[in-house]
Amino acid sequence: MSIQISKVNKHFGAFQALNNIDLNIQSGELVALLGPSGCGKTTLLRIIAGLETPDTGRIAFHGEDVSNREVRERNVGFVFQHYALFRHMTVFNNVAFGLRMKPKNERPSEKIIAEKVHDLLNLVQLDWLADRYPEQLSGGQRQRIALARALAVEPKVLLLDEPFGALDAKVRKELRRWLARLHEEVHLTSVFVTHDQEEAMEVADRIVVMNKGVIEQIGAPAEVYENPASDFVYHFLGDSNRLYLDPENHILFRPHEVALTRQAEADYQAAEVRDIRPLGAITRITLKVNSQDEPIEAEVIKDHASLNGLTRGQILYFKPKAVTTAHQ
Amino acid sequence: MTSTTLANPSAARVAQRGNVWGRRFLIAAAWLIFTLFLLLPLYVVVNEALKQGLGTFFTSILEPDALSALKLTLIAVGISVPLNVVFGVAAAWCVSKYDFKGKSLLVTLIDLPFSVSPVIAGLIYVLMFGAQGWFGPWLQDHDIQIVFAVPGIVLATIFVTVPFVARELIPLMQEQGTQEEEAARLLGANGWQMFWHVTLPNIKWGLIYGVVLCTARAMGEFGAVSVVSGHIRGMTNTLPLHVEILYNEYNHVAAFSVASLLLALAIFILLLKQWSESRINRLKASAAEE
Repeated sequence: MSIQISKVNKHFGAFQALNNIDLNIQSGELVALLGPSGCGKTTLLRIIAGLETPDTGRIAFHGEDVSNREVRERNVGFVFQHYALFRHMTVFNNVAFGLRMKPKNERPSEKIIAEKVHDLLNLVQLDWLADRYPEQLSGGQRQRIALARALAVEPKVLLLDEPFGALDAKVRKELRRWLARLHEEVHLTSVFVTHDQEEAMEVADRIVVMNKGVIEQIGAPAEVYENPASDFVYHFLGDSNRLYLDPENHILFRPHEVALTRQAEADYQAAEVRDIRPLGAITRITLKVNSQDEPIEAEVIKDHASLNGLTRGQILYFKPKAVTTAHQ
Repeated sequence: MTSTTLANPSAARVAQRGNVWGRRFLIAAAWLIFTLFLLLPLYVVVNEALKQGLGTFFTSILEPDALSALKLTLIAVGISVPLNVVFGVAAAWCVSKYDFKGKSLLVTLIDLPFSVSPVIAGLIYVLMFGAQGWFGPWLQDHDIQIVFAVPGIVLATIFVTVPFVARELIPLMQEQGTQEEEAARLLGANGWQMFWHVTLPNIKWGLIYGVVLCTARAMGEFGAVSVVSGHIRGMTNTLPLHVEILYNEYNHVAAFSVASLLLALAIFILLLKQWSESRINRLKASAAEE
């Protein structure tokens, strides 16, 4: 099921949350809405779900206008950041909820419901938790149950609002890989909201970068990373260094795009080592250039020749390898 | 460093010793006040009631006027409490799930019956529905009696008890937010299914607590009911009014017997409250673990 969003505007009082948003999402695609908090990404997701009404503009599913359709008739699966599991129901009853709420003539028998619930719990690998209550589960387990609950009604679209935002780093990583695999299995048109660029890069087929209520860029992860359409996108998608050529002009480059050497060479610039941080496979060196206050960060593999015996206060020579953008 | 670490334990001991005596004193004082101002009066009521033996006690309670007062009290409770539940849930829903203009004014107005003296609440109904009141002539034309009759008593009770359920539910529902309701709607539940399967189970214990408080107040209400009742024996007397009449007639044993009946009802309600409160606390504790 494809989603077409056209000319959507939304205000909250005087605040413009969304400004003329146009976006087409292909059938079976996994799209990330990426941006800082307050950029309108969650509002857009809630408008797709029908939880918010846009001031103007329309939402269509597979070409069919659903703008006036109520939440319960849109048939979307929705996963909340804080899970929103029904706290007084067991895991089983949570997952069965959507099936039991169907009108009598469409409602499956309890036997079929039970089969379906167990299938879904197996899909999220938590069948053994069927009789527990949400408060007895870990955050990662709760979110997987929330996903199973959303999938139970066989939605045409899956919407996820910062689904891993409340989880700790390790669980988060595990779960997003798992989500990407799951998406490959079920191929459901999915939109997820995140402020974490790494998460968007790792999971999504396409990334929609948003800022202050407008879309800055739409593209595949490699595309937005390599060819950012604006300074904002460049900064938001990864760490960046700014090196001033003169007071008016500067160049931008990423920490891993830096060549380092201990001896002065042509095109290399001298800098003082301020900090050395081993981060596992790579080591981050903070450099201070005389011509500017802003430090330069360089990331090199941990056994790089220039690191041998390096201490703070020493002089290193660096050169930006690839300058991605040069803006005023 | 050494001197402070040496000094600290003794200082802590002194503080603790001070604590022990302070604590003992406060606990003793609390019990003393509790005994003097609560237990003793209760004892006096029951003692006075049983002064002439169990026989007189039961005669006073089972006398037709007392039974009719009990019946009227139960009618007032039976009508006002369910209405209160409906009103309270609706108001709490409105305040906690929607944003609208004048919301804080509405919340303040819900509290009005708490701040207005019950006597004034009674007078309002006399002024509105009494013979000389606004609707008096119309009501007389249609042969409807509100003041000095059962409807007036029920109305006055409703007015006085209106805030209880809403007051209990508003903070609870605000704390719970709307996400579970949104999830239910997204999963295809209609409004009624959402309320019945998601909202109601979440507010159940708070609601019971509100109902218990409301019931206790409805049973014991004196001021407002006294103004609209007219004190017609066997007709418009509730239990508290009946106690007053008996007392004014120097029929002390009967007055205290009926009072102990009211007391027994109150203690029963209090136990219910205790039970629902512990359930709420347990729910809160489990929610806090999240």
